[in-house]
Amino acid sequence: MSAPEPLRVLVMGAVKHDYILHGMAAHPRYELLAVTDDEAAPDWAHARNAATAAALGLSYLPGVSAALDRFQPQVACVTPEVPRHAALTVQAAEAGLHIVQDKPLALALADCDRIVAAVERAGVGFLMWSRNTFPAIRQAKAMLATGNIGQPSAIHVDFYFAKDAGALLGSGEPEEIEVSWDGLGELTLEGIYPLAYLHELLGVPVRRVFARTTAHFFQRHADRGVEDLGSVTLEMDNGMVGSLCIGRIGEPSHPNIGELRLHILGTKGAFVVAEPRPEVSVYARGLKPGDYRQRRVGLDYERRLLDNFAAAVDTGADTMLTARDSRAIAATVLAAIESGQTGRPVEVPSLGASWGRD
Amino acid sequence: MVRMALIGCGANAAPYLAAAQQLPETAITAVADADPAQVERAARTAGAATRAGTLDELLDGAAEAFDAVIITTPAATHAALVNRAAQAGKHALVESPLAPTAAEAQQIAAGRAAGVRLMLAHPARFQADHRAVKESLDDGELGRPGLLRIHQWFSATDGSERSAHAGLAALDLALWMFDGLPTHVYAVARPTRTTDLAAAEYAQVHLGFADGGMALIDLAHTLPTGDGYDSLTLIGSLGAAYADTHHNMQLLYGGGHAQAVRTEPDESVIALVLAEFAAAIAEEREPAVGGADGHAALLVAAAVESSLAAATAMTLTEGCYERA
Repeated sequence: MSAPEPLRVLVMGAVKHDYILHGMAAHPRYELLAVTDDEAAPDWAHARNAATAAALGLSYLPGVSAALDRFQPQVACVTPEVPRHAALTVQAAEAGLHIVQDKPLALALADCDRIVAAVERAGVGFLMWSRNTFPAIRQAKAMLATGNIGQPSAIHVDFYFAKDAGALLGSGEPEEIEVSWDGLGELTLEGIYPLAYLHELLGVPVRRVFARTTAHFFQRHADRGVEDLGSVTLEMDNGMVGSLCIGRIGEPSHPNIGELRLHILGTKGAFVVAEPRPEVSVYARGLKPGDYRQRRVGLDYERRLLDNFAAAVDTGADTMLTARDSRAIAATVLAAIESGQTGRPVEVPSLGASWGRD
Repeated sequence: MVRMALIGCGANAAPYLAAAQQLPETAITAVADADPAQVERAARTAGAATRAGTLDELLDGAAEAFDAVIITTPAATHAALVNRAAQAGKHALVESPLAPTAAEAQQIAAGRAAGVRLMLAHPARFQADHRAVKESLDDGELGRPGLLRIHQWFSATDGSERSAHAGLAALDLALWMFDGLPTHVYAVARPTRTTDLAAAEYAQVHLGFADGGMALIDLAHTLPTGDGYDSLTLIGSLGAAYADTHHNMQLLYGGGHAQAVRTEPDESVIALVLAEFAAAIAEEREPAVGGADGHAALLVAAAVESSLAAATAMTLTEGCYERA
């Protein structure tokens, strides 16, 4: 049997994260064709697109329609800055392309709904990038499947990134905010990862949230009125409950990337999971603040995600995190932000529900 | 030397008897319990010459034999015993809860004569790992407290006092770390209709504090028979502290999957509680955990139960919690 043909990929915006692109470049089922973007994208985005394309040995062709005509891709890899996710993903779906998209799905629920509608109308595959194929998450899923801890009843995720973001709150230090900073809170930017764990492990939607959010660390977050620290109570179907603690907690707050853990309670036991494992510790004189002392090893999560997407394209099956799944997560995040602002629990709107913030 | 009367000689008394023997500054000189056999056993262990069936009997017949009382009786009796001791001018160390309601606790806390000490035995504050976190916070290493995350999981068969009142103890920890009452309280519990924090198989309490701080407390009484699990993480504006069972496990290989075995600290937490009580009396100062702390924990616990009943958040308004 001959190997399947590589999927021909057009990169639509390459300004934020390059992990998807590197994963695709290394995967035999993917052929990166070129980078394109909306001609109306900001100048800095064009510059970054061009640089990323050059680094990957690709050409950069501004103008999405022209690039579609020229390269005849099957797949769009959508990784622009967050506010342009919706426009490019909808354009890709309407062009009949299968889509791999960077997180989050979109900023407004109406845009999320537009994406879901476009993807489902076109009948194309959609994969939201996630961390669900990390070894510890796969292990947790396997552990739940054995029934060793019974039926899951509660799940708690800690998702603290030990990274800095400019001047500390109240420090009075001047800072130059990089042009690519999108002014978004950590729930919006990172919340999809831990909530995707819940989707992967439990497969039940969040119905209600109560959240506390604050700008606790960084001046830029306070100035923009967005959170760099948050905690969310999650109420799910089947009586399951959970919680999410999330924050950009600063480099000094952890020796590694951050405290990333899951506490899973079942009817017959519990499972405490450190997401970065397996890892090795490296301590050396030459290490600087911010260098990780514990390093993940044996990691193959990108290939596994892209395997999942390729299989979905081949068979027409759903990916492990579809547009509809991602929309449910985005709705949970938006509900949490609203709860943080109002101090009240908020029902998570189902698909198509109107949303006051749009 | 602070001379103490042990009121209640049941299972909860044992750690106090052991602790008093460790501490040169304390002596249990009197014991009281309705069960004569328990009185006899406790008196022998402590070397106490004075024995009685009740606190009243001790106060009537041998009040000069002790300066303070340690109350380890069932929770429903605490308030009356603390009040009786206070009337007699005796300092009191009482296990949590201080009283059945926050209002009663407030009356007790406010109603003592000057110089009569009241201490709540909240051992969680004295745990080595929790102390280390608080010291780091108080020293300024962590900056302003932002997020406190507590997991406390117990075996479903754990009938200990610690398990029964874990909710109050965890709330006390949160109030201690944030040094004040939360402005927002929200809770969920299982079974779904449960509104009694102490009776819930599972409870999750979410607190918000005035300066943006927040706490999430996860309490489960659902583990199989065996070890429990403790975790406390405090994220501050300048650093973070992680204290939990997960970090303090050794691995035991005996075939099949390795077992994780916890390494316990050497010190007795109850001995530290008792030492603080004795020191507060000797130094004529308020103890580290006073009646106001007992009242505050009960006030927030009541807000938790109101949140469970109303399925909504409670907010602090002029010292009372109301629906958000």
